[in-house]
Amino acid sequence: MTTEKQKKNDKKNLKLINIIGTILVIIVALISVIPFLWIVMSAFKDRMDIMSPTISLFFKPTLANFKDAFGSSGGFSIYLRNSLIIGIANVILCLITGVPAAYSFSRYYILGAKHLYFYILTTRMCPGVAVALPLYIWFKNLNILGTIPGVILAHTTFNLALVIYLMKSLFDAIPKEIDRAALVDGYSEWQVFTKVILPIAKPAIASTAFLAFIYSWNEFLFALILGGRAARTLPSAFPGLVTALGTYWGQLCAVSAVVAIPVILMAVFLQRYLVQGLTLGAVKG
Amino acid sequence: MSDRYINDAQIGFGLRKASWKGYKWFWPTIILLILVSLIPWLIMGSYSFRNINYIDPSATREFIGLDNYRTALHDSEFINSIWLTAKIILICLPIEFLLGFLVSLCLSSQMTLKKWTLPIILIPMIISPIVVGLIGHLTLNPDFGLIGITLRNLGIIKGSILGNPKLAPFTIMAIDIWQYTPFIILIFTAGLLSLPKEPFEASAVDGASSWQTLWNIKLPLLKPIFVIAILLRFTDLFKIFDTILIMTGGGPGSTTENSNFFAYKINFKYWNLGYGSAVVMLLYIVSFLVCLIFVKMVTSKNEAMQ
Repeated sequence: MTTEKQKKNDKKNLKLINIIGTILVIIVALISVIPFLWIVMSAFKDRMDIMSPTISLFFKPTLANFKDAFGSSGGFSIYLRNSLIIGIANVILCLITGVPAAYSFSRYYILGAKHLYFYILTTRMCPGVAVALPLYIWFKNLNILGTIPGVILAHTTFNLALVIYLMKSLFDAIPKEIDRAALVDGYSEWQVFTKVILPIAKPAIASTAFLAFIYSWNEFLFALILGGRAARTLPSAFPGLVTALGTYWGQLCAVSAVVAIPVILMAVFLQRYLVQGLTLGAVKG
Repeated sequence: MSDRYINDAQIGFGLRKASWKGYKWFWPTIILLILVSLIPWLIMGSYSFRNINYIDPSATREFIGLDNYRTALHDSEFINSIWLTAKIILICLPIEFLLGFLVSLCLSSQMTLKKWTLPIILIPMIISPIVVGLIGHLTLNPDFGLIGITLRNLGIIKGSILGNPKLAPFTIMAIDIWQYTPFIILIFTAGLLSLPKEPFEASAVDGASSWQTLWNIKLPLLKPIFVIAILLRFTDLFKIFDTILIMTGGGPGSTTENSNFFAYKINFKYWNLGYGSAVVMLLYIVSFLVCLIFVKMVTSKNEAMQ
């Protein structure tokens, strides 16, 4: 009898905990989204409304900030183009080198694999300047400082590791029997990879590509230091709008919206890969 | 011909013996890593032993041994920047983990809630850190920022927040907590949902309370995820940069300069690349050692589990 009562009590407690939990989660969600919405809203405000000292949800929306930033006088359309070129070229480069590497990582017991893993890990772990400074010196010697190819190469320092570890854990999930069966059927190893495994892995590769693109698209420090004027991306152009004459809040907010909103939309679809990508494949989503 | 492939493949797929064979498809990666990582790193290493300054004509590029390293260890600004980095880690890490774990416990037990709120909670983590910095910069503005106005109306803080040397470091910590608690939420929610079902069924049969289940079953099972999460958070906290640059620029004074920002300042503002290389090498050694300790912890844990 007492256990019956206990169970009832437990259930009541559980309900209470769930309600408190729901409230906590909703508060956290609101705190997460409201500052961002404030920025997006400000992107549609004119200067007077942005500088208004009261919190108000009502204002006359304007597209002037977007026109100023991305119009012919603003230059952000060029930075947008640079961001797209760097992101896409970097993803292609990382996929071409990283996917076969991930496959052999998954299928073979590779000598020194642990050390390679550690090496890639430390590259991801060490402070950004510790990666950017050597690249700066090296690129200066190579004369590719301040060019788009330079930034593309710099972004491989983090995206190659991402591609290898994401794809490795995805190849691990494909049974090895499939490879063996194809080998028995007379395919060469290369053919097994290109004709059998790659078609199976296509959706996973697409998701990995999008995730790598997000990382390159969001990246700031390397683009700032190595990109210079000629290869400026959208994020690395931010400091240019904080000048001695004042801060161009409206344009900053407009560019922020353009940088952030596509990423948010992509991330909703990539949630599962996001977990694996962020933890170098250590946690499955 | 095909016999040989099957045979080779069986050796490869058998996962019994280490071999160089897998490197066949690895060389593009190796070449790329040598190009963007090894060579530049070696060149920088040689810079750290020289007197190199891009804007000071008296710097002669001559070899000066360990002088740059000695300077770094006696540079009070460098030491202070390391102190700030340590403070950031010590304050942010526990708060992010407590809050993040609490929220992920709620999310993993209520799937509808998770479906609708998780994508929203993830926003601060996935948008570009430079946008996060702008969000901090604008909302904390005392005259027209959302948080600035609120704090002023409540009478808590009157003047500039980011310009106040006492408050500025805490804004950097607060913005990091806002930005990366979602990361903890995301990976612990995934971790909790991927736990095996059997131990919980068994504990339910035994009549364990939900607190006991959490403490004795869930937490031990989540240990590997804890270790990787601490490693990733630790290193990311070690290298905060974007938000500092856009929010405070290291100021007021040098109160919000962490070690990463200090290295940036020496190299790319003062162009003292010899000294800067030494600073970067020291930071690299620290992160290398931290990595080593954590990887040792992870591997020893895995072996213990097997």
